[in-house]
Amino acid sequence: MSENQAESARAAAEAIYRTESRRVFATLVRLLGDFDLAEEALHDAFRAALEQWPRDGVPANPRAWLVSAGRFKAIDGIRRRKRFVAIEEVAEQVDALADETPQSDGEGIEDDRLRLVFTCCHPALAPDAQVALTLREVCGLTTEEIARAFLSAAPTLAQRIVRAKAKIRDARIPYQVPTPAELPQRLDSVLRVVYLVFNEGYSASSGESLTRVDLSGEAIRLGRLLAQLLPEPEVLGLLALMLLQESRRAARTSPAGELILLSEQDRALWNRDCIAEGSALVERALASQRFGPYTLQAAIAAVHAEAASADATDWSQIMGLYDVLLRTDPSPVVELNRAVAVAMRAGPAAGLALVEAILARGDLQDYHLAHAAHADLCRRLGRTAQARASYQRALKLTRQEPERRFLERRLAELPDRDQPSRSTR
Amino acid sequence: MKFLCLICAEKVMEQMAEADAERHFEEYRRFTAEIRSSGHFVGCNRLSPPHAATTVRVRQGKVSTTDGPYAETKEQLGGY
Repeated sequence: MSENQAESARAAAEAIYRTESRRVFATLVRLLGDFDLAEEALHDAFRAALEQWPRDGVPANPRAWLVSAGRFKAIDGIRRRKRFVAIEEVAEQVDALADETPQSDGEGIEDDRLRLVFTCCHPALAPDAQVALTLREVCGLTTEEIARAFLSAAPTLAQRIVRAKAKIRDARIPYQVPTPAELPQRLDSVLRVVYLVFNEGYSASSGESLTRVDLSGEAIRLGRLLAQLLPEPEVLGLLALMLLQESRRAARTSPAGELILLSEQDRALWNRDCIAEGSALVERALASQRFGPYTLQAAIAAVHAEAASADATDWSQIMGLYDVLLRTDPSPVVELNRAVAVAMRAGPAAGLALVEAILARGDLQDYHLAHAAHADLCRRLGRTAQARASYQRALKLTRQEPERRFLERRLAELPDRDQPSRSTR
Repeated sequence: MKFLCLICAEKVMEQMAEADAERHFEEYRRFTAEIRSSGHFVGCNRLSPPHAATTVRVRQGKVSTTDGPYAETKEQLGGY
């Protein structure tokens, strides 16, 4: 094989690692029944791929190759360790692994990742621990990314994940497909996981790019599987929300990687298929009259999607939907977004009073978007000094490059001093 | 205007003498037939016994605040 082919095989292995490693991991967890063993087998399998693919070529089905390589590496590992363990136990483990052939299961959940999401959402674990564990182990989010999604500190989150894994081991929580009767009670946590994975893809908490298509794509894929499994209104609502927010991806970033605000996006770039599918799903969920927060958020997204121009946006309707959302699912993050809608509807002063009340309560002191919103409303009211302080605060808190550059541009554009007569736009 | 008639008798019928229970059922059937013929009947159903019920409780009432994909802040950064 030529040097070029070897190089492209290495590149293929790396690309597959980025896109497929968590799916391979989920299958290995099912086959091996243990997170740590599966993690080790996953890395052994990729190490083998980096050695063999440049020499022998990329296999026709790389994922199946990796699963099988990982499984054999795990069997080897268990055999090697056998002198430390009772011999019968090893024989049993090896037999069990060797018998297992990749199969489609007839028990409802076809997809190993979705199966593992449900397993991690076992009711014996605290709800936040379920979600954190799933995001870490199944979706491959880093502890820092998860901490930011929960608006909490990374060490706290890391501890929560370690405890959840220990509990699974100590309590011998089985890795198994929940029965159809158990699915509904695990649904809340599962929906929250998919929502937070999508959220990280919709706006990355750190790094070079605004969005992460790998994560939002995976969340939508899981959402579709869930909708087939359990077409409950909130499942449809969540899928609708994801499709509608995803529809703007191409319009949200300039070719140079700068973020483009909603009002300046080229609406011709919005994905009409996503919008049509999302809007139809929202309507179905709303018609059930058993909808909740995901459907309401999707309805808000649908109002944006259906506006022909930024000026034509029906902010009254958005505000009304936020009022209902706040009653159904009270949270300072919802309040903050409602405050922005109020500012759009009733002017920056009305929005600013709400944002200041939220910040004064201390709820979102470390949430960069609260300070960015505060800064912007102050800017529009000509309160330059306050705007500057808040932009600086937001800049300290953001870990994402396009957002950081945007905030710096805004900061640089501020006039030198307060300008009471400044336009409110 | 619609009226909902609730027959609240947890296992009362099961504990009655058979003849008494039968008489109760007969009165109930007569009443249903009357409102049916007068056109006031909408629908009726028997509820499942208490042991079949599921009570929903919210545990640990407060759920953590999480971030979310909200366009109002994230695609405007509070501004326009």
